[in-house]
Amino acid sequence: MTMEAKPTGRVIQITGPVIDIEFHADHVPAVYNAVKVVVPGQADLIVEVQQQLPNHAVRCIAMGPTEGLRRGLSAVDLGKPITVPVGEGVLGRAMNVLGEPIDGLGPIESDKRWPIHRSPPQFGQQATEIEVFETGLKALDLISPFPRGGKVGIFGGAGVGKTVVIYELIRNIAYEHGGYSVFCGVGERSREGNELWNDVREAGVLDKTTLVFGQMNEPPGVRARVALSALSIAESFRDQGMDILLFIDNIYRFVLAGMEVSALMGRMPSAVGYQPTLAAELGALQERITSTLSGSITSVQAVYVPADDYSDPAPATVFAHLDATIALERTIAELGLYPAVDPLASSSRILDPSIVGEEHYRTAREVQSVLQRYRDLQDIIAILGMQELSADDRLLVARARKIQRFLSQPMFVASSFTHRAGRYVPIAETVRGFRAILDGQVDHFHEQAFYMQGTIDDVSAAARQM
Amino acid sequence: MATLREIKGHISSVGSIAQVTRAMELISAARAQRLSERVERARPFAVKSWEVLNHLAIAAQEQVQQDPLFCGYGQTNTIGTILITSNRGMAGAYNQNIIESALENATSAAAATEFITIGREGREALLRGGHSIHADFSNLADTTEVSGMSPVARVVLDGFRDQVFSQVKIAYTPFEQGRLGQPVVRQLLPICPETPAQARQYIYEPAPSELLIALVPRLVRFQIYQAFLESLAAENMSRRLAMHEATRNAQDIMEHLKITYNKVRQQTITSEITDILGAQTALDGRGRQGV
Repeated sequence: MTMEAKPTGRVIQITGPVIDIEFHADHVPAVYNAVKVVVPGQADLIVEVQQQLPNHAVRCIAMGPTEGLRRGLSAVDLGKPITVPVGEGVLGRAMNVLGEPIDGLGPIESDKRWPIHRSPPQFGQQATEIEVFETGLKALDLISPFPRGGKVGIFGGAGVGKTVVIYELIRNIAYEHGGYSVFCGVGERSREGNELWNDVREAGVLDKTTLVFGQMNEPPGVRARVALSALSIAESFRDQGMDILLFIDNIYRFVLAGMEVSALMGRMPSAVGYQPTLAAELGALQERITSTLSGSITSVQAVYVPADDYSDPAPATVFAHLDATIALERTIAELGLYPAVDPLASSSRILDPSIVGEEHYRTAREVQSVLQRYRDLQDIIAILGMQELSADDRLLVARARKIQRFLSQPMFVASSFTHRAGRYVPIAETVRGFRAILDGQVDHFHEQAFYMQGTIDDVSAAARQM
Repeated sequence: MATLREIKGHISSVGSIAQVTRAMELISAARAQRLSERVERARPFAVKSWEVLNHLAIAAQEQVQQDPLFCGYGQTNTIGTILITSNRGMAGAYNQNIIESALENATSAAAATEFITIGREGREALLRGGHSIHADFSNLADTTEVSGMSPVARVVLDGFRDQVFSQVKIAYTPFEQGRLGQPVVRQLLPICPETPAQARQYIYEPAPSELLIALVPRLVRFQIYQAFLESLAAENMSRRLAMHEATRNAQDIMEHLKITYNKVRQQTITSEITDILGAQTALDGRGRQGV
């Protein structure tokens, strides 16, 4: 680097979270490079280069608030993308998008830093082995079994219990899993992040967990990048040959953050106002969440569905990347059935007799067909009443209602609201329970006995008490 | 969220159901009206003739004391119950009520019950429940006259005479104008003569005992006919009310769907306008300056 070509520039335009910086013609920072804007009297602001403009200017998005910024401030090209600390040192810590500690426990001790932008694993490196991952939640294990090293999406509109389900999964699998987990909070409530940190610590698994937060109080640049930061940490563990759990709550906020800055960067809005680069942005993230021959990343992502509309471009694009989808349905939540999993809209790539076994597969499909038939009959019941159904249909409706109730389950993380202790149900028990309902072994129990129970034996006990 | 096409399909399917239920309501209303006239016409005869029978039995006390038709067999081994239901459903709780009370009566009785069914719904319910059916007279037309009840009366009387049944009951739904009748299970045989409060003396010609032999089969037949007629009218009344309710339910559902449809339509239009405006603004270059 010569003396003339200084990697410094100056701010020429500030439009909310988008900042234009003019550099010297000989040294324009590359796309995705981090640039530090020096703000007198304030902490330095890190921005990320997004576009190269004419007259050796670059357009960047800010990784922090832009209040107090002025034109003419000087900026320094850091010469590399944003990096985050990786390795054992990050375990037990909570950090932000830039890898800075936010838990007040001093600097993160790590000798290695990885950039947040990385390439997905090569085609030949991707793992092909398929194995079922038990979650202990009946509705999930039965209808949409998790693949180990796969990607699972939890879809739902506002307030149907996505976060509760994801926290229950953290409780059930991260606490029992024994390996490392990475939790990434994207654009959700900061309060929840705080609670999670305390819960994880109380459960004694903090030393195996890394938390990365960019919550809803942060500017869009942070929310558009924090998932990548968490992902780089997960990838580093994977490449050391470990099996990692990656939880992201909520991937929709990542898309939304991209949308917030898209128009400001001069891109034409696409369908429903989303950024035209929606598919590319999501693809760049999702393709990296992959299991390789050396290690695996099992990821669970919450996906907010705006206005309960699954045809909205954001959830529709996320769908395509997932191995298993769990749809949480408002009408089920309104019945007080939690987790509010819609068994007819949820699916899994591995619900296949050669993977989960013939018995599990058949039970799941029969449960779906009984519920489908019940849904078809619902109009008739609403108009003509139950008496007009044939005896067979009446029995089917009774079983369908029992199945609906048996799909609910008390959750550990919700026990303070439901006053019921959480229950962990192994897959074999789940299949046995639904089989018993389908085979009519429990026709004589009242449907209320099936509400919020663990195994079918709990149902029998409850029925005897009634 | 459902698409406009799905909601539209749903509205039209509920609409078709509403059309059918509305038609059935009108038909049952007309039938109930006609049948209620028949019931009202037959009722005085049914009541009075049974009183006459009672009277005759008292007048012919000596002969009657030997006849099991009047004094019974002393012990009850099997009960025969005539169960009158409808041939078709869509009558609300009508069939369910009468079947339930007949079965309740059967289980609380001291002896086993064999059923004689009139009406398909009752027969099917009993077969499903694994109950024993002695005879079935389903698919009788609405227009059946007294003579049409002869086979039923024959089976009942023969059964009683041959001691297949030591008691015969009849389960039916009395007709009540404008509302659902309450199911009734009452004893038909043996006929237990009751001494009336004011015993009047009549002169019978020929002798009461001879009259009894001729009258009992006819009057038993008429009792069954009256019960059948009452049930038929009650069934149509019940169907009218059930279909009225169903039509209203269907209309409510359609109303809700219509609102959903309008909301979705509005939303679609709004988002399309937003899309067009957004793109237009961007193309005009009125969006971000300085690019």
